[in-house]
Amino acid sequence: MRLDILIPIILYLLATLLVGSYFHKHLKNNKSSFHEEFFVGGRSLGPLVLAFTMVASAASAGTFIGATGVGYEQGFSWPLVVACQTAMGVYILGILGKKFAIISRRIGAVTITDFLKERYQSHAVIIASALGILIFISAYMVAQFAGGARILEAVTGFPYQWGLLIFGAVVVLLTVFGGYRGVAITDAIQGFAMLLGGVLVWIIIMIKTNGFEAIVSQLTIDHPEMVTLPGASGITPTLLFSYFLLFGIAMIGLPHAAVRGMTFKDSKSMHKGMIYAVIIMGLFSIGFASIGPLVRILLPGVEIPDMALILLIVELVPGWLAGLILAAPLAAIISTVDSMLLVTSSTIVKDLFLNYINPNASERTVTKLSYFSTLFIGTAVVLIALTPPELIQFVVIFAIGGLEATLFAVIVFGLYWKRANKLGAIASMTIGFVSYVTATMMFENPFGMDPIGISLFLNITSMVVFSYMTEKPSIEIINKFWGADPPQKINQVNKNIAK
Amino acid sequence: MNKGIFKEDERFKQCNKEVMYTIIFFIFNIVLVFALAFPLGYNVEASEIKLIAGFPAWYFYGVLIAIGLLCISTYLMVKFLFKDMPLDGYIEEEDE
Repeated sequence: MRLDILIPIILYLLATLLVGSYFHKHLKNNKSSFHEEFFVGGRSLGPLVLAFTMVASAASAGTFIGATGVGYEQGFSWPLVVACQTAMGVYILGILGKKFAIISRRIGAVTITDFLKERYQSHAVIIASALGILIFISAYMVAQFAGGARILEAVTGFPYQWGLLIFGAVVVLLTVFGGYRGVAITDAIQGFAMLLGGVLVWIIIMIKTNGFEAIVSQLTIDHPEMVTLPGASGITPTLLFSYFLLFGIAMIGLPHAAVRGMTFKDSKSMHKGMIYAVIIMGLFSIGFASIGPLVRILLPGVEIPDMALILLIVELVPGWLAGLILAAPLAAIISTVDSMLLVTSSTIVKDLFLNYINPNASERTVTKLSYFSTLFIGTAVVLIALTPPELIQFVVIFAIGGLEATLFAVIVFGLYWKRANKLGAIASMTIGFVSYVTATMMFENPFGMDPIGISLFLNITSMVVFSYMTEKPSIEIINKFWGADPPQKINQVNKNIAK
Repeated sequence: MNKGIFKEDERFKQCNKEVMYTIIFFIFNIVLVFALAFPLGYNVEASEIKLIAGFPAWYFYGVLIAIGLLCISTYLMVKFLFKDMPLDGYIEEEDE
């Protein structure tokens, strides 16, 4: 047990809880609708908060622990892959962009499913997307919780499972009481803390060693496959291309990332948010992913690669500072998990319950149900994570790939292609989902690419083909998503014409 | 329904342009990283890989330099090609 490390971590988590509960009060006093506040922070985020929430919710256990773990095992070829995520924020905000913001204001959407519901007006589309979201986001959360538990395991010496239970309880409670506004603000703080932690780790490595030159030269001799391409990760150009899809442009298909496109205040916030996001994400990619291969020399023979960086920090750094540095990835994990818990609970409450079970539920019931479903899913995921995954990174990849293969075309084509219709949406989601799961289970990297390559292709082509085979969407939908005038005005004009 | 009355929101023209710019940016990103990393590192023996600032050369250019260039080009793209606009659901227009 390293109390000197543990105490700063606990203090940090407590501070986070306090911030969350402060914003929970804010949530209660605010007059705007509970929905808009809880799920999209009242559409009022400025650029810095926007960029940090986006980065922190995408780069999390995956980047800090997962990426360093794989880098530890496979060398520099893996950080090259991780760097594909650098401009992720630019793609998400640039492509969804202002149109997404305008449309979500028009139709009052606060989740991706709200958007899909209005665009395709089909129960099958809602149910398919809800299922995809619940399945893959839960898998994603398993990886996050496992990452948090690994940190506590290294620090406390308690078994992994204990760490998991403690950590799980904190995160779930934080989300239940904070809602989105709480998440967004604490996200920004945590993103910043993580950035700082990353910088500190680099400084410490520089001080404790004779510079990277010596470490990497050593690596060249001991593990030549760790400094070359394709290297131990087998990075060929086609494989790297598919990772550009997975970590880059297809990130639009992640509901917890795409929903950020509904949260910014105005177009200036969006523009600045894009710039901040690429800088921050770039620092994250360099900062954390590049450390993995170096740790291999500094601390050889770690049995669980995911533990390598954590153990290095515990060993090299004075206790209190180690605590503060490790609070950073814990923070990132918390922010990812709480925004994902919100996505899943909103899926259950808004997309399934309000649509199919009780459309007339009172605000009170909705509020209660939001809390309980958050609590329920959080608990379920913690229980699943009790069996730790081998390498966290690959669970993360499976989850984001699955979400992207299911949701990419329905979101992007729904927003920009007038012809996209119900059947195209259903076909693209089903085919994307099925092909991704099959490709992952049955083949190792079909066509030399991550399974996302083939299933994203199928996801898009089936959207196009099936939409062309069936009827155009109704003029009402086109008007709502492309027209210049609100429906009331159009009705008025129609009446006048009829007269 | 009378199709003749459909009038597209003027703002979406600019939105569509920005999507195209972003896609071009994505392609630029891929080309940049490929051009910097693969010629220097692909199938090169470990003993022949040069180190720059302590990193393998392909990594130094393909990751570190590429990220720097991406930040600069994002700034330029947003500054010169993206335009401010109101994000309200509908824009009040004067009746003709």
